[in-house]
Amino acid sequence: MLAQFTLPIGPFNFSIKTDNTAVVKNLSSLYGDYHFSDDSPFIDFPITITTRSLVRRFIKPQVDFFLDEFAPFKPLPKDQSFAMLEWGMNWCITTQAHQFLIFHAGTIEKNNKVIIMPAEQGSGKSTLTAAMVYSGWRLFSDELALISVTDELVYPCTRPINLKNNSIDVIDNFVDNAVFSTIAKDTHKGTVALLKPPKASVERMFEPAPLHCIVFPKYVANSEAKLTPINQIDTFQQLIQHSFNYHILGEQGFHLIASLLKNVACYQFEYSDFEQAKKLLSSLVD
Amino acid sequence: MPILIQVLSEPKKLQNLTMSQWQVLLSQAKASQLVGRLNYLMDIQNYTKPSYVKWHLESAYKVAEKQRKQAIVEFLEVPSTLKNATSTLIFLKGAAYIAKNLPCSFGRTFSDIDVLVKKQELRKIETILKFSNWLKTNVDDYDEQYYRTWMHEIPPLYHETRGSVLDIHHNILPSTNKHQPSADKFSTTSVFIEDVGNIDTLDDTDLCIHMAVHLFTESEFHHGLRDISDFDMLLRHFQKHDKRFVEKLIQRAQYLGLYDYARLAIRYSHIVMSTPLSSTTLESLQSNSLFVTFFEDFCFCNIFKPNHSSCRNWKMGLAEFLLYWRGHILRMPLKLLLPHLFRKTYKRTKDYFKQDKDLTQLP
Repeated sequence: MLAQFTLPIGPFNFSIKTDNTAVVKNLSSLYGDYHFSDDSPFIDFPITITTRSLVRRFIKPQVDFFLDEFAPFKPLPKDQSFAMLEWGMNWCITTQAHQFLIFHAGTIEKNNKVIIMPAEQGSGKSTLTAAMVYSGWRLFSDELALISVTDELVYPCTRPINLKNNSIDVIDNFVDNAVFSTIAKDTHKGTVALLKPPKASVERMFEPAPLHCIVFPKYVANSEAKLTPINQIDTFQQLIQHSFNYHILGEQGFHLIASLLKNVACYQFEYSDFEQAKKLLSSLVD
Repeated sequence: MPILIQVLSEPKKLQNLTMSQWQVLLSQAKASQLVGRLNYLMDIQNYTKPSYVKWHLESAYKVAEKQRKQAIVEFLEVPSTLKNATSTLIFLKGAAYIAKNLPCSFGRTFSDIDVLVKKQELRKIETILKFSNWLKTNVDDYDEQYYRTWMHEIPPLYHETRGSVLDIHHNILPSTNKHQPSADKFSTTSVFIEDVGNIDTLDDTDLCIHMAVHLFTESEFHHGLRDISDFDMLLRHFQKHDKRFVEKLIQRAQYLGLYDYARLAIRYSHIVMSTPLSSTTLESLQSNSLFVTFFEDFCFCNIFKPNHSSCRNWKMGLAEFLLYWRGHILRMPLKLLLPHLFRKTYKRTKDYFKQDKDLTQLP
């Protein structure tokens, strides 16, 4: 093995072993601000990125993702290895961390108030999250909203932001000195690059905060930014659709959502321009 | 001895483990699908769980509890769907442990719900299930043919909306097997499930024997340790209520012509998991042949281990190899076995070269 990294990411400790130079390079540049105070913490997810088959090291090179010794996925082409690591880390969390109710949502915070933005793949939630966290919001996650079933707070899972296709250029233009991973082309999600998270968010990744607002974002070309309130029943239904483990938590999940919805406002959110989006979202927490 | 086996046979060792011991224990338990069971063992004793490992244990338990609820839904749904098609419908294995509320059902995950029906009613059952949203899983023509000709079960079905997987057995073992216990001889018992009503499952001794038969005709022991731990928990539980349970179990197995399987299960449950047994019982459990005893001890003592690098060695590899062949030879005569293995190897090789084409299964 070429290298081993131990990464604290919010409530989880990952260790990543790899012999893949691209993974080492990307980890060093995108996770440069992460460190442990402790020498040997408890590792929740020991991950290895390597190539299982000797043949596949040389012919049409591939990589495998292992959680401990278990490979949950089929191998992927080698140029997607860093993206595979990020997807695999999401898989670890969403399939095992049932101390949280987990939504597929961009999650940001300002003034100790969290907004979660649940949305489908390709709806622009990561792009919107990226733009907001480089405009003064704190990054919790661009993919996962982790809401604790015990204290009902939202926990940060601060990691690089997953951008696809045109979003990569859009964010590159919007953010000064944005740091990206190497670009993976022709993945099942198209062209993918990961954006380094803001340092201020990484430094505060152990600080949870209460949920303030649920916003279902939708990018509509050339539209004026607009918030439309929606009722609790519709929100409830949509939230279930965007949840990874509602079906596992069952009753506990039901009561958690019911309790959250008593105190939070819910909106549909249409936008096309980041400046307008910024103003409108900030108005929710000021 | 692997730490996982130490704590399963003596749960009080779960107190006062260090962080590095927990790190190894959790890896072994995850590889053996026994994390939920550790959580159960700690909960019934009220042991304190260290904060770093608590959520791992409880998450696995939540997944198992979800499956328990799903099984209870099927206790209602399957019999009501099939009420006009079956004269018997007996829940087996994991579903039976849940139905009987046995200690080994808590924190235990399983992939399908097993039921036993009469072979002559199979056709009607399949037709009704087909029209009640139970769909066929992806099984190719060769496998389908193989199931139909030789197996004691039909290819698994899954429910379109509920997602449950149903394994329908019409016999105890494949018809190629050397021993052919008759399913009719197994005795059933009816249990009451809240909000559901009565459903049928095997009675206590036969449940253990059925489990022993399946475990000791396997050729691959992916869940070997989990299964022998199940058996250990079954024996400990039943012995608590009936001191002569093991004797009865042995007599019953002799009557069914399945003594050999019961013997193996009790012996290795005792050797591996330290199931308490009287010394007279223990002595009676050896094979008559010294060579057979040596072979069995080597294989089973090495196979019932966590499938994890922290305890893997050459002996485990050799035991895997020997048991693979033992299982296949028990299951079918060579003239069937060789073409079958050839076919499987060919298919595996073909799939390996095909795999580049479909890579889109990641989240």
